[in-house]
Amino acid sequence: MAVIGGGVTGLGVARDLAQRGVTVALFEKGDLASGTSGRSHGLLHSGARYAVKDPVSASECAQENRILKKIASHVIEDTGGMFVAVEESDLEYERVFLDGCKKSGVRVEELSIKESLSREPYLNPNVVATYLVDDAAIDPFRLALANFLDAKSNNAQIFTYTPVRLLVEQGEVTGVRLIKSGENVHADIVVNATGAWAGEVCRQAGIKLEVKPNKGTLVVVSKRIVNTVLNRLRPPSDGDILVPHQTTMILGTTSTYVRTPDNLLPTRKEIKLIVMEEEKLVPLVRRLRVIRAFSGARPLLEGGSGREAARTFLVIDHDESGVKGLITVTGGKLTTYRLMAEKTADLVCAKLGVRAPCSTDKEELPEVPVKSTLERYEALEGELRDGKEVVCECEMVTRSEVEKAFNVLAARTLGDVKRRTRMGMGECQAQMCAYRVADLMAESFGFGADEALNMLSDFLREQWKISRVLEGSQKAQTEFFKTMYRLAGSLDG
Amino acid sequence: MTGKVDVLIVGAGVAGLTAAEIIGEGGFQVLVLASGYGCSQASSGTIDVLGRYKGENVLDVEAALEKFVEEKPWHIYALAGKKTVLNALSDFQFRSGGLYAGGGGRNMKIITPLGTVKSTYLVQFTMLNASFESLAESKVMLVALPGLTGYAPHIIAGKMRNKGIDVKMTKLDLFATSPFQLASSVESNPEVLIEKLREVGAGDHDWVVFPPILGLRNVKETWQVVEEKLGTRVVELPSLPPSVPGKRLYFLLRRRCEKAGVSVVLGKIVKGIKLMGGKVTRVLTNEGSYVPSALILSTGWMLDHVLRIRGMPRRGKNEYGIKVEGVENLFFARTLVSHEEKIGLGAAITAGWLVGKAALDYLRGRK
Amino acid sequence: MEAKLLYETDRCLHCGSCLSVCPLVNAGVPGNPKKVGVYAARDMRKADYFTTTPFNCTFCLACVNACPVNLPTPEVVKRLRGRVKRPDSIEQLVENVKSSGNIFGMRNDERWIWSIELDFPLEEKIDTKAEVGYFVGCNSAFAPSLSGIPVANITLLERAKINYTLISGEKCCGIPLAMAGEESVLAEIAKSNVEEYKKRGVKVLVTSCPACLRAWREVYPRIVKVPFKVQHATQFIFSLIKRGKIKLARIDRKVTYQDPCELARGCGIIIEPRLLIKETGALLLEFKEKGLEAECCGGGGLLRATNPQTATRLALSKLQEAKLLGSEAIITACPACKQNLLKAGGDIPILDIGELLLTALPSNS
Ligand SMILES: Cc1cc2nc3c(=O)[nH]c(=O)nc-3n(C[C@H](O)[C@H](O)[C@H](O)COP(=O)(O)OP(=O)(O)OC[C@H]3O[C@@H](n4cnc5c(N)ncnc54)[C@H](O)[C@@H]3O)c2cc1C
Ligand SMILES: Cc1cc2nc3c(=O)[nH]c(=O)nc-3n(C[C@H](O)[C@H](O)[C@H](O)COP(=O)(O)OP(=O)(O)OC[C@H]3O[C@@H](n4cnc5c(N)ncnc54)[C@H](O)[C@@H]3O)c2cc1C
Ligand code: SF4
Ligand code: SF4
Repeated sequence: MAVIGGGVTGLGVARDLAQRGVTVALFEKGDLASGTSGRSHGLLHSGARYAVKDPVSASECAQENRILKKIASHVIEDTGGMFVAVEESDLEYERVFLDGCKKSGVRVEELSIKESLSREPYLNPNVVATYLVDDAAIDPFRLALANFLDAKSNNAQIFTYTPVRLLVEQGEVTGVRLIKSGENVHADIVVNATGAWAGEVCRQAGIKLEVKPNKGTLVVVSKRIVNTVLNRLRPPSDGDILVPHQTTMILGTTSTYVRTPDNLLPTRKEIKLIVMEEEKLVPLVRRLRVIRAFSGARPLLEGGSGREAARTFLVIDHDESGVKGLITVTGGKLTTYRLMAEKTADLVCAKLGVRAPCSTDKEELPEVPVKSTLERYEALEGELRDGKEVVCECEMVTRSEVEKAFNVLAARTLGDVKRRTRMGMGECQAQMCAYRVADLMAESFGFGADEALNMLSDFLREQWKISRVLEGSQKAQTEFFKTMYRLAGSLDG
Repeated sequence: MTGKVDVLIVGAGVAGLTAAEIIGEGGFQVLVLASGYGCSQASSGTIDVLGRYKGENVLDVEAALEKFVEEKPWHIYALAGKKTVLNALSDFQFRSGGLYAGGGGRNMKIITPLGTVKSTYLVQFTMLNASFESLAESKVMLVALPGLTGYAPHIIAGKMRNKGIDVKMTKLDLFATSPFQLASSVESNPEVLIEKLREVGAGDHDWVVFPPILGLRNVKETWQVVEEKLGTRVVELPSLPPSVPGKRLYFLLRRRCEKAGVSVVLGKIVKGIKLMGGKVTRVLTNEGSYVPSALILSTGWMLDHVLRIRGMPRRGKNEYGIKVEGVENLFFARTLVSHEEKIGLGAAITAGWLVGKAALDYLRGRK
Repeated sequence: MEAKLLYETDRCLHCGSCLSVCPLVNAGVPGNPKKVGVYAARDMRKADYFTTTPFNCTFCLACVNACPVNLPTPEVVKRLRGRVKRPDSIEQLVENVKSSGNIFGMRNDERWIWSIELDFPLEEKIDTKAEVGYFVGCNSAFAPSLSGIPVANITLLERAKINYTLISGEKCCGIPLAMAGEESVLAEIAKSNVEEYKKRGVKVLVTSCPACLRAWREVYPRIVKVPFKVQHATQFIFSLIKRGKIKLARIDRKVTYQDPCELARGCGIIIEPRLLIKETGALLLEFKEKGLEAECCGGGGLLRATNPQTATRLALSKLQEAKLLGSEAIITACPACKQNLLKAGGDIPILDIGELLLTALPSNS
């Protein structure tokens, strides 16, 4: 069995199959969750958002929301969510919204405005109606890591930085070819779990699959001033969700079709639009500093335009259209990744004749050995207080956590460390810790000096990619650190 | 504090303080206002004039500058002229009381805090031998301290090894809350450091390489004591911010300004400028306003995105121009860095010097 | 935390300038500079992590001064103190102010205990009508070691034949509360203090405590209209000397002036104290960092109560430096500085400027 794609879906499939005793190898061209999964809003949907337009998705979300809160509570911050009507015109949507929720089994509860404001003091005081739902914040990186660890513990093999092509022999998919080494790996069945890249992979076997990459941009602001997920009560549109994550808040999103899911960068216009819209939910947002923005590609299926397109997923057995050995799973959401994996694994097992039933909805995901920042705050003791072993000051990442990222969590680059520990995701955006971690790599992980410097260059180039669209203090800070690295440190790149 | 002054200088970085000293020495009353420290205090303190030109490392600065000014007639170096640039720099060095070494028309190659190599013009004298060439074929001890950041010791050690240098890393158990604290405690009591180094056999090495912690105000003495007592040669590397060498540079300029009778007031943000009849008539700050006979803006490049000064006339196309047309008492000593060409403090010193002289001429002409 | 502070901390560029000037960091204690942005973010989660760090701050304002974007670190630190578990000593202090109107929890009518050192009964000045008011401040009023400060200042006022008043209803200026992160009774205090002096027709209020001065100048006006001028004793007395109301004899002494943080960086008053010292003819030997860039003596921010070792350490380094300069006395213009320098226990005398002037008063003219 081979799985292509190390997003949450691919990892979920690997976990599910490994639990059922199937031998799995997973190939990811970049790092775990470096695709759309890591670029999502990290909202564990209650389903309410889809209740009107897409009731199937809505009830899937509602169901998975409950399951994940049980099996993955340690990667979820159960913030609860609110739907907020800001303008009178939003109220027109109220009726259909409530109806939709009822029909798709999504729990909603009305909340008085006074209560909402006392719960979230920075909320726009002029809101006209508020509803409570079961939304929560979920950390996609930690979710991916938990699946990774679970799959590994059941003997799955997982290869990052290993781009593959389908191995097609006489019209039949027989495995994958590792592009870098040219090696072939044979497999009875290949699962294509490449999300927005699924169409591209299918094409390698001559299959036409309409997956349209749809770009969404998200904006990270420096301060967390809201502790509940906020949604605008109106038909889904640009910039109407706010998710508190650890020390920050993520605002979003936008929606435009793009040709390829690779190298998406946010534009200044998108950032402006999002901030302008979110200001209606939380007026202070405008004054907060935008520390980063990023874009991901939604794997949207079929026609329709943007948010209209169905967000439920597809599991396609290409055998039915004459190509043996390939199953594609795409579409869906982070929230429904487990369900997607279950359905895919069911199909794979049926084909392989494996009887074991799915147990991913009951078995808790394993602990991730690196703490989340909030956990760190609560657990800070002794050595950490004096800062001796802290590598990243903003997120309080310690040296031993960086070590775990390499030793237990298969990190290979600085970016990997960032995804595993949140090092560099805080205020200073890795400017102070990047060289420290690079130095640590040279000290403890067998990287040569030049190799470590190259890693550092690559990482910083990636970090600075968006400096063009930043403003104010963030711009000044980025310029400052660019000069620090490039002039004082004479680092080129 | 508000009122009339001969010259108001906004910005207490290298450019501003260099100009301030010149004008103060010229006998005028100078007030320097700044929101706080600038890039100068965060820099690694090496004076980068022109480290690279057309992709090539520059060693002969004089020759490279000659071509450079021809090609970029708008650059501050061209506005000053090659000779003035070199004069300004040797003057800076001369007045540094021995803190700065190097120069003489040539760059030297030093090891950066990241273990790469940079061509630079002047360095703090403790760094004169911070090059792979000086350390070649010798036994080196590289000192690291827990909690002390600002450089990448393991990468530097790796680079040294790659160059065949026999290097040993030593981690001392001296904990610092900041490099400044460390530097000043080494300055007031070098014995602790020396003792720890003796214990690990520093004396058996040809060189002991330190991050910049050998003193904050009194570097010469601290460095000498350490070198003498260890019985080996001692080098400092430059560092990234928070930067001790940058702070030394600030102290140096600050003392010189004090001698020249210049007052420096930090913590003030200039908010706007009023122009009337081809002159700056008033400068507005977050606390009160000033009426200067001449105004120098040496606000650096970093804060442009954060602290906007209202009413500032545009300098047109030339970012380096020291004057704008039509405003006779306004001068700019604002410089840009070039990451590619490794231009940094060299441009700031040149701009400060050039503008200091120009403002002095202007004030004398008025009298 | 107020919204404004939240986004003001957002301006931090992580340049580290503040680290180089923080007295606490420089004394080897984990301090607050460069971290408050992160703290403010954390504050939103009410994570109980920073139980000690916010108390490592003297509110010396050095970090604000050095910061290119004037980040209000000390303001944030004050707010944080109100959100974490405060040390008992601070809790007690807050309680004292609330219950008895002064930081020591003494009976407020003992405020005049220092006046026994005067050679006339002070009672006749209390609550009278006068154009000049004198605000003593808790430290000077109650701490036995500081009684010299109000005694000297009152003597100088007497000598200048100024008609002045003190008020029996004087309450703690409120700054210690703000420093403890307590915002509750501040408004009440401000209103009552202002009202008392207003009733007596005061036109200029004089205080010898820089912290009180800042309360009157910066905090009270946000709460209530302050209908008179407020000056530091050094300013007022300097004006008296200029107007010839006080004549000084010359003294021969080498002294060093310690700029109180709140007076220098807080109020920008650095010239008058020096001119006053000059008036006495004493030789002024300056610290290496002076005026707006002076180094804190460790006396501020209630550090004495929360971290006495560090407060002493900071004071000792001042005493040492003064000694090296060959100075015969450290002159300051702040009760907290004087107290902290005294507690460090050197053999060099510590005097308030008023006390120095007193030694230069020709006897019985
Ligand atoms: C802006 C935005 C916000 C979103 N917000 C939310 C949200 O709040 N809640 C929610 O539930 N959902 C959200 N989603 C949707 C959700 O992120 C995605 O549906 C989900 O992450 C898809 O996961 P995946 O594993 O299928 O795809 P991916 O995470 O994209 O994984 C596919 C992987 O395949 C790899 N790959 C591709 N080609 C190859 C190859 N040839 N060889 C090897 N590897 C290959 C890629 O590198 C990638 O890592 C959001 C999406 C976007 C764009
Ligand atoms: C991290 C780093 C490392 C560097 N390392 C080196 C190096 O090793 N070698 C080298 O040659 N160069 C280096 N540089 C570049 C060099 O430091 C700068 O180019 C140079 O210091 C600029 O000097 P300046 O005087 O023009 O401006 P700055 O030093 O930036 O000073 C600007 C001043 O203006 C004030 N100011 C700005 N706006 C206002 C306002 N509105 N109101 C009041 N005050 C205001 C600021 O407070 C500050 O005092 C480095 C730069 C950085 C950022
Ligand atoms: S106010 Fe003074 S003591 Fe407090 S953080 Fe700033 S520099 Fe440090
Ligand atoms: S000096 Fe100001 S901008 Fe720089 S790190 Fe400190 S608080 Fe941030």
